[in-house]
Amino acid sequence: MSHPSAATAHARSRRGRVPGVVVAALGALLVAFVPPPLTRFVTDTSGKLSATDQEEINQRLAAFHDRSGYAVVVLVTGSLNGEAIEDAANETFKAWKVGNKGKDDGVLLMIAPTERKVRIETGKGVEGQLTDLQSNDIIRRVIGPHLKAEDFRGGVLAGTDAIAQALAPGTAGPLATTPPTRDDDRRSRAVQPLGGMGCGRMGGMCFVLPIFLVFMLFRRGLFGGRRGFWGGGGGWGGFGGGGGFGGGGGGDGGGYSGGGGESGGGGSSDSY
Amino acid sequence: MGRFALVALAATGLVACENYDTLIQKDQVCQQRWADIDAQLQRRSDLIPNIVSTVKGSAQHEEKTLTEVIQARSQATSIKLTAEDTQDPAKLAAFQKAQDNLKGALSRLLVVQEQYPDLKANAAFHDLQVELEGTENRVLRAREVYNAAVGDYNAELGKIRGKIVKRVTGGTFQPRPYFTASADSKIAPKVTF
Repeated sequence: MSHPSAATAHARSRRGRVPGVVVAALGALLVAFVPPPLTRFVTDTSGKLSATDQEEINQRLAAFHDRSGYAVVVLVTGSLNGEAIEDAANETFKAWKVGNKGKDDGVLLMIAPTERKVRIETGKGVEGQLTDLQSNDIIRRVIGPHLKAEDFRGGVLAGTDAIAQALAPGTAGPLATTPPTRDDDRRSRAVQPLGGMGCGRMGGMCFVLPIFLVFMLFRRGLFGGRRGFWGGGGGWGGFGGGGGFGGGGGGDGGGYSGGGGESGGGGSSDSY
Repeated sequence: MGRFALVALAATGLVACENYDTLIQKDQVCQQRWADIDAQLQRRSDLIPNIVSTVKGSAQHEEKTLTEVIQARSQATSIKLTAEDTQDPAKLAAFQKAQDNLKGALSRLLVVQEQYPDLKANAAFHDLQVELEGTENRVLRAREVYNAAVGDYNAELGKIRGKIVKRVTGGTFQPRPYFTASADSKIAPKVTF
């Protein structure tokens, strides 16, 4: 027991010399919330999601990202360390740079089970599709009931589905039931937008899409079923199930490392 | 010797010119960021009449609180700051005080809901609250970004080259004051649903 007391005495003698403010600031720094590193679409430092849950969520969000261009990422944090979830979520968003640079089309769903708080933080570019009110609605009506029942997997899946639905109404669909499509299916689907379907809605995307599709196919040919981070896209809505481009392939749901997106503090938070 | 002095002068002039551009650019960033704050404050101001009328419907006995909010709002909107005005610490402080007053009055109004069950259950009121929270959060973020831009600009101005430019150009470049949160507004009103 001599060690701790010696350490305390040492600390006390130091505190005498160091101004109290510095000690307080240092203390705040030590306990403040620090965003974990971003490696994939879902990060859990709370242990509420099993490895299988995480794999499932990650695959869905990677598929959605491939299909729509929107990045929806999830953080279930062990503790907020006394910080407000609004601040912690904004810090995380900043550190992760969710979404594409310039488009700022990322969304962060953050859950703090210890504090029983949820926040949806939106990128500047999606504040129109996913308003604060919609975010609040998703938290209270879709995610909240699951979390109240301690069903974190269900809460995250339902919540991200609802977010995806708001961002890209056509492509979101039932993410879970996206069937792995065969190559010829994909080709016929790729032709569709050229035939005029969805052109009215998508406007300028008609020019970008064929290029994008050819590029995707080419890339898949080169790298097999690998799904990594791939920016661009941003609006495949309009031709139904979409699907396919992220499906199939290996068991790995793909990683995500951010794309330079920014948030202006949009979104909403609530307790559950 | 004369030639050397001329070269040195030209070199200094060149460096100063370049730094002048940097300062102009950083000042411009500050002004843009200020515009972001202003937009969010305007959004808050626009939300208030709706909130007031919703509360009025359910809580007739809160006239004092309602009047306070309305007064604070008209006071806050009467102080208009241009981007140049933000360089003036006194003007910025006055602006800040008015906005803080408004925020305080607003949070007192929101606490009122506790005593009125039908107001608490009012969907429109809930939506307005969510909107208001979103706005407050954006103001906070815009403020952080603005202060970072101000810090960047001030640091540039404090450097030796910046000091030279400041001296040479007279009063064009002045250090910008930060848009800090008052002690009162740091404590966000706790609103439970």
